Amino acid sequence: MKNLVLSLVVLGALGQRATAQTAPLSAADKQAIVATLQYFQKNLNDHKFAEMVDYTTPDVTSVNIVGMLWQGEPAVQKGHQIVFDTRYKNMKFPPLDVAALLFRPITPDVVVVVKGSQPLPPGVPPHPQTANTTVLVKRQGRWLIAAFQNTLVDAKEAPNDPVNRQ
Amino acid sequence: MKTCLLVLALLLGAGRAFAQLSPADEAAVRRTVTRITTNFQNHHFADMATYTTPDVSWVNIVGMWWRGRVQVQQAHQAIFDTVFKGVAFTPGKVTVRGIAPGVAVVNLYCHVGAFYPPDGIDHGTNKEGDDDNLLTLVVVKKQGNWLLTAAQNTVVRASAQPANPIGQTSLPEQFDPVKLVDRH
Repeated sequence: MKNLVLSLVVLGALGQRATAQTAPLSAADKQAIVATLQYFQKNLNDHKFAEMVDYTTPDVTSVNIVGMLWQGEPAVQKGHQIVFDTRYKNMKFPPLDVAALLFRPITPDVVVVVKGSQPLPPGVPPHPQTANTTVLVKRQGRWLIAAFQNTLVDAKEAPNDPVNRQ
Repeated sequence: MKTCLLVLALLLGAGRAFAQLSPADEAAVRRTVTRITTNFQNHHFADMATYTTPDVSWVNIVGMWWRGRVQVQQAHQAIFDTVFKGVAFTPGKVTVRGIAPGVAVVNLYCHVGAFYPPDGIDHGTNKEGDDDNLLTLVVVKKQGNWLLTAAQNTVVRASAQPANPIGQTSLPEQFDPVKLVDRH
């Protein structure tokens, strides 16, 4: 009976975690999340997307800039491999700009990372930018990408942003 | 002892497996999605507070990034009162999956009628829309309510879809993560 009560307490506590006030992200968790994102960024350049199993959940979803939805790690891996072996074959992506990322803990085990468009530094020629949202979950102590979406930033629309006009 | 083993098995399973939603929770998440799409259709966003977290964020189809409920609500209202004035929004397929206790990710298609940025007026060269949008929505359970906490939207470029390496040239069927082989 004691065991049963203990079990219920443990399971109940797990259920409450999501509804409790979310604590700020610890330095260790942030570091681990950045490492996961950097691993993905590395694959954008070395095209070794077979490694995706190391940093994605089996049910990961990905939406790319033209609205292709890939569901599940095999599809996400295959989609990236083919696109980066063809269209992006000679494309080099810059290192992850951690300062441009917003980290939002949603629960103790879920963090949303958003990268918005950034003004280009003086002298840097205009080039396409993307905004993206990455959802990471902590499973068995590892931060894994569970969902990802990328959107091309239309720079000419920026002055029409209602938030900037206020 | 048996109970302890059962609890251990449950805990290990919870760490590894998909956080499947109960039918009641999935239905509740879908109701939240319906509230979002209802506002798309009626162009009134005043009740966003009833289905979003205060810190909700939104990235729209041209990469505008709104942070916090006030910005997200005001920006939607402003754009739907101008650029999207009179534009029809038709919700399409929805997939819902739990990713952790109390957190779900939704993919939602929505067909958007023709519109004319930036002022909603047809200048002859500014027609957009008449296509599908695809959203990722992150929904979190707070005090028993499923609330939108993050969203991003991307236009589905129809011309690009035949080149989809996964071979989906039409909208996918319901995604069932349980059927995936875990290669991790």
